[in-house]
Amino acid sequence: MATMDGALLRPIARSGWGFYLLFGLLLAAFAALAVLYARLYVEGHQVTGLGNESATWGITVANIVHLIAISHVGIAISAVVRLLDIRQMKYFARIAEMITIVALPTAVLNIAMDVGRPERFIVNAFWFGRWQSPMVWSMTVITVYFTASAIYLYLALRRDLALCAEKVSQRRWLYKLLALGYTDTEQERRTHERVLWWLALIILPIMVSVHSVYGMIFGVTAAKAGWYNPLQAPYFVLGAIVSGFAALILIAALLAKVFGWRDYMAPLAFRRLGIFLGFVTFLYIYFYTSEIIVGMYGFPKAENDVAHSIVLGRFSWLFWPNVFVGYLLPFALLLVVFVSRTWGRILSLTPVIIAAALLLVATWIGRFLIVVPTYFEPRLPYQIQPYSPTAFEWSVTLLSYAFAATFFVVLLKLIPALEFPQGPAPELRKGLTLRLPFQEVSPGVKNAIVALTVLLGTSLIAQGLYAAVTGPDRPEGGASAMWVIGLLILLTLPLSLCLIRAKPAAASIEGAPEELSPPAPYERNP
Amino acid sequence: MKVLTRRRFLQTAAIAAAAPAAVVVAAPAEAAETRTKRRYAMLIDLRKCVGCESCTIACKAENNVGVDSSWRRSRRIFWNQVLYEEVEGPKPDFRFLPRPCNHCENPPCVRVCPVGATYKDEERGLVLQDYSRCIGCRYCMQACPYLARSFNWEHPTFPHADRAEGAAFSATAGGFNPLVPVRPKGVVEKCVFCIHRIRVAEAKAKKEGRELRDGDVQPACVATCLAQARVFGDLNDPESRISKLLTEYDDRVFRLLEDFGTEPKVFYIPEA
Repeated sequence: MATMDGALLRPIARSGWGFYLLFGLLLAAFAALAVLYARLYVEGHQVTGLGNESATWGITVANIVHLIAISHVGIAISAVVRLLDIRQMKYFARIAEMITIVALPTAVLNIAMDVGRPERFIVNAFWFGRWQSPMVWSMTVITVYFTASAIYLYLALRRDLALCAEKVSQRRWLYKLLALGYTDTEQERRTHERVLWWLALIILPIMVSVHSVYGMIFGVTAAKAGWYNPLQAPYFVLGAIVSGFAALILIAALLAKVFGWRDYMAPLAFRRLGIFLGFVTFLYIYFYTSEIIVGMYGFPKAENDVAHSIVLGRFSWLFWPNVFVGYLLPFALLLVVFVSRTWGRILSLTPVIIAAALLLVATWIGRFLIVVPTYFEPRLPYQIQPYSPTAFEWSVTLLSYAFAATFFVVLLKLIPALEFPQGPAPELRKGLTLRLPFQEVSPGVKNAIVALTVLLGTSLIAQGLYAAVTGPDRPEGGASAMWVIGLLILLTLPLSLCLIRAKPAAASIEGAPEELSPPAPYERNP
Repeated sequence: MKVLTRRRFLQTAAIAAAAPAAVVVAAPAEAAETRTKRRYAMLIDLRKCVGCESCTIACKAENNVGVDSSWRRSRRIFWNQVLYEEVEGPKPDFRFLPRPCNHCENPPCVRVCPVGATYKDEERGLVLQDYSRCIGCRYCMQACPYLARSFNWEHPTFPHADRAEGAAFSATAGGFNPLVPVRPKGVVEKCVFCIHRIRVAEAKAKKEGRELRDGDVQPACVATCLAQARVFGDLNDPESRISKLLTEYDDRVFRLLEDFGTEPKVFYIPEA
């Protein structure tokens, strides 16, 4: 146990010179980003290569789509582990969740760098959101997805935070506070497992909707040839799964190497991830091929011109290398890993890692090729100026990854990235963590709180949607705020179910909520 | 901009409580073909247009559009723009097509705006802009098939105008049109059929106790056109000059990208 604890706690407990060097570099990059962003804010978007008779959305928008795509992997892995009970992937789950938690704010940072009025876009989209606009759908689902993922991560973490409070001497106050009175009884474990099971199930469709909505932003724009496509939603979701899993493989492999976690993240598990990635890549190639073929055969001139410009025209220098080295080569690598008896038996991570890295870059370029070529085939005779992203634009786009890395490293230092093993309950000293007064209530009060939350949340959502749909086309304000807040209130339900303990009455069953059925499989002793 | 007041919240709650099942999607009322609602439109006679671009320049002066101080064409803002097409072949020629905002009846830009910064003015049949609400996401620019919209990539500059303090309120307005707001960087703008001139004419007509007459309002481009190639008026008024011309040239008048279904309101009489 001691060695396991040591391995699990290594990033939290000790900070070597390597960490300080890395963190220093990251902070420097973050500071550079802040300076550049300030300049962008003061001078306006003239510092980018975008323009009026040119591309109006460029590499920053491609970056946004890429980051949102990467953020999928959190619940994808968590759902696989928890719902399908695939224990082998257990140790990837929290790292994946951390990637989600880090990727989403970075995406919002990129959005802030792309819009013309960053100081008002969140407030305006929240308060004046028009339900007809795909961007408002994206605001809603991203908010919900981020909050739900954060709550999921927190609840899954709670036990480990309490264990950290016991085992880690630094920042003990933080863990005591964050664990919020977790007592590790059998009952509490069961409640958490049940709630997390259902939460994982609910977040899955939210995850699909997040990137579907991004596909829709492009898909409903009939004016832009190449964007208008009913299948953008599933196409984007597929691309998201590819990017997300590629990112997970790379980051998990790096962490396993740095912290010596090979025992927990076995090469066999990586192989499985790699095979799944290969399968999804195949599906993505299938979709992409059908897009290109239909585009080349298409008769609407603009559509044909855009496909032509990608395959044979001004973007072909980027397209073909991307297809061969970025999609087909990684797919071949992963196919070999899957199929070959000799090569597949070599449980080396190298082909999987190479394939993942290539795919991660290839999907970024793929998104660039979705966003930009359409501007050069206008439907009216305009003189379209070439789009050449400025060094400034590249800097802010790529430095946003420094923000993501900084955030990730901070999370690594604060929370255990791997789950602690579970022995028979209880494993914690009682009263170790901070417990707030509202956390011990009678069962009746707890049921009332739950019922009230559900009522308030659903009524706000209904009100907001009703006001939006029957209100004027130009919103007067408040409708979108209502439905978003309603959704967020509903999302506090898992928290109240887990954090608030119903004091057991003398002869009645413990106050675990009965509406959660069927009982979900929970962790057995390893 | 009205904030969601408590009264409205309670009203909504009362309605919601009273009619739980019948959530009727109230489609925006179809533009009724009545005299009280106007449908402003423009007719441009391409036989007369010589491509002088006076309309473009007059529009820029009228609407306080910043002068592009940079050499970059991609920073230029055009509310009205003259498109050129070179006709090759046995009889090489140049064709000009002035393109303001089409003020579509079914505007794709309005549909996608996340905050309602661009909106349809049903009273006048215009598509207008609210610069204070615009977040600069440029989604409307993606949705417009005519590329009629421009983004402010930088603070607009007016080197020709008197920038002394209070100049905007002086007799000459310092080179600015005091009726039109100067947009900040980061928002999208486009032709609004000189809504400020329309409002002035409406106020004048109201003061004189009469209805607006055809010809009371002329956007800057229409008023300036050297060849008098542009006509502006209300489609809902069968007696207006534009309605009569449209009836007369009905067999050959065309609109841009008609099959898109945007129902644009800028009509063109083609060259012979």
